[in-house]
Amino acid sequence: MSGISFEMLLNADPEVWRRAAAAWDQLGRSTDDRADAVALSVRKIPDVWESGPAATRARDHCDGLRRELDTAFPPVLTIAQTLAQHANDVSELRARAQDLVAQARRAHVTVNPDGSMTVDPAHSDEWTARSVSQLVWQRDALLREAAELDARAAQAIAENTATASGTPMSRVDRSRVPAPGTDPAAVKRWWDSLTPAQRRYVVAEYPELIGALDGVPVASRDVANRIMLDREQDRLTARREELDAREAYIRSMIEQGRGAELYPGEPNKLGAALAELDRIKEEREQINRTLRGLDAISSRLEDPHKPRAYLIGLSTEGDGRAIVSVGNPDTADNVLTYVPGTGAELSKVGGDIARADHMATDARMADPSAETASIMWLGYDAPDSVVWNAPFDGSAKDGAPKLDRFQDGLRVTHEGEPSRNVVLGHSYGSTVIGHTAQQGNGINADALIFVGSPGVDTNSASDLKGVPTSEVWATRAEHDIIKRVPDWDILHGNDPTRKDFGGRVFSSDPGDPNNEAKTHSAYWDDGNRARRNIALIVTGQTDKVD
Amino acid sequence: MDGGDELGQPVRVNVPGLRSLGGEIVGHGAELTRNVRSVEGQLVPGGAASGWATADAARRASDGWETYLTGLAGRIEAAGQSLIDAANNYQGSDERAGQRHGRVRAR
Repeated sequence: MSGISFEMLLNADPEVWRRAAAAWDQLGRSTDDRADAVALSVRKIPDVWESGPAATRARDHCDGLRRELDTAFPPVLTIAQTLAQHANDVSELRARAQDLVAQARRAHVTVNPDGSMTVDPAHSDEWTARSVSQLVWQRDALLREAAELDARAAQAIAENTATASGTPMSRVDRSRVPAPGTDPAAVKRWWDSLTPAQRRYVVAEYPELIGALDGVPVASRDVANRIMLDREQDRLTARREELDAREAYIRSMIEQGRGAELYPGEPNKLGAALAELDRIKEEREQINRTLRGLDAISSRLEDPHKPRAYLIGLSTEGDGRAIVSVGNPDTADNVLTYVPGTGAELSKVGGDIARADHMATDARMADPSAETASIMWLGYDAPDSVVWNAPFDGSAKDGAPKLDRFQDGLRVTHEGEPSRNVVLGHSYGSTVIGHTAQQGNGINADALIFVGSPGVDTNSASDLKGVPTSEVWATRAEHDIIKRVPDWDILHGNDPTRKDFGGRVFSSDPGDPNNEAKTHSAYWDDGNRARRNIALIVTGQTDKVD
Repeated sequence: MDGGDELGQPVRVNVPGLRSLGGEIVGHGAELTRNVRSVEGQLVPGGAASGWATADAARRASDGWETYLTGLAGRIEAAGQSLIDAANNYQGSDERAGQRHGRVRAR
């Protein structure tokens, strides 16, 4: 039996766990930075010690040390994640213990520090006896749950504790990793078949595969994607330095009147050099945009003053993709997936993450007893332009299977009782959800929310499979420019706030009549009543929605 | 410096560059040690965490990682030092060879 007493629950302090988690995070980051620095030095060895067996041996030895540093990051970060989760668990357990004491007090029963109970002699009757029996049952259940959570966290930390030779890893062939697009349930079965040492290996060696794989637990995807984030930041920064150097060289040659020497084979030698300068400028601007997005993600992941965030997906291809969760959806009671709309891309991801943060905070206020994870899902290529792309359903069709698989993945990796899963689309994001819910078996969610929707490519909530019409919600501000989008299948179908759509409508602030475009993005502004309503839907308090 | 090793393969080494790179790697080891020290005592939840198995596990993990990373930092410093030693050895043997040459000629 566990050594956890009722008194320990009452005195539990989540902050001590959070502080320890932050220290492990710091250790992980600094170790990873050292690994990057050692890697740079190792790459320089052939420049100063070009050849010979001793040079090869020295390089191999230093590279082995670099690999050891690299492989320290996943287990250290896993310990940080575990302690951060334990802080949340402890916080919830303490709240329930305090609630039990309050309940007991109302029933004229005193819960002693050791958990034993004393009945007020003045109220020693049958009703109080029944209350005591109920309170004892609740106390024992609470202590059992605390012991289970404690044992699980302790085991996760033990599995990631370094021995004298580090943390063991066990090789898994790359071909054994399920292909992208594999059914998340099959992925989960594969993951469960791996030993901890094998899991560490696949996360460290194939982060680009594991980070994107629906069906792998979120905590492990987070570790893999943080490795990818670091690599991409390094790669793009190095590429930008290369471009800067090349540009400086070209400009210096041109200033010396030697520009023609750069492209001796070209008929228009100077023109070719100037064209290269244009290409450099364009590529650098793209790199700067991508790095802006990656830096915004890094800042959020490292922010110790906000709830822990998890990086569940990342790609720098094209406009980029990112999936960031505020809180761990695998352990949360409520899980909100927010799908942003037209114009969303990696470079602007900071604003969409802030919305996810707002919704997590609002949900916590709406129901402090529940843990809510709020996910910013930019897992599709959102339309770039309201005029040229948003009227068409190409992006929605392309994004639908990805969102469908992501939602399935959330279900299979969730621990304990199923969470209440809600999918919210803003603007074109709602169209993506509409497509997802109309294909196959529909969408794996308990409720849908459409905010400022141009239409979800159907005229009836009953066409959206997987969710009852009573849980299809929509809002549109009075002065939202989206109202200018015509109904009846000219673009994306009816406005889902129409009565004949058959969903449920909730209110939001009317917005600015003189700035309809701004109103379209104002749903997450401070005090907008849409936020409270969203929080109530997310936490399942739908009877309070107005 | 160009030369040949015991297997007859050519050896090309930039002695000052190798020495400087060795110093850089020694610095990485030292920095890693500082990183570990900067979180010393903070990796284990204290006070109200007493009695939880998770706190005991964190204590063991802290001991394990501090020992391992400090050891790794030492090995990194040693690797950097061995590059510096190699640079010094190359330079030393070159100088000694030059001196021997001078003595032979003087006889």
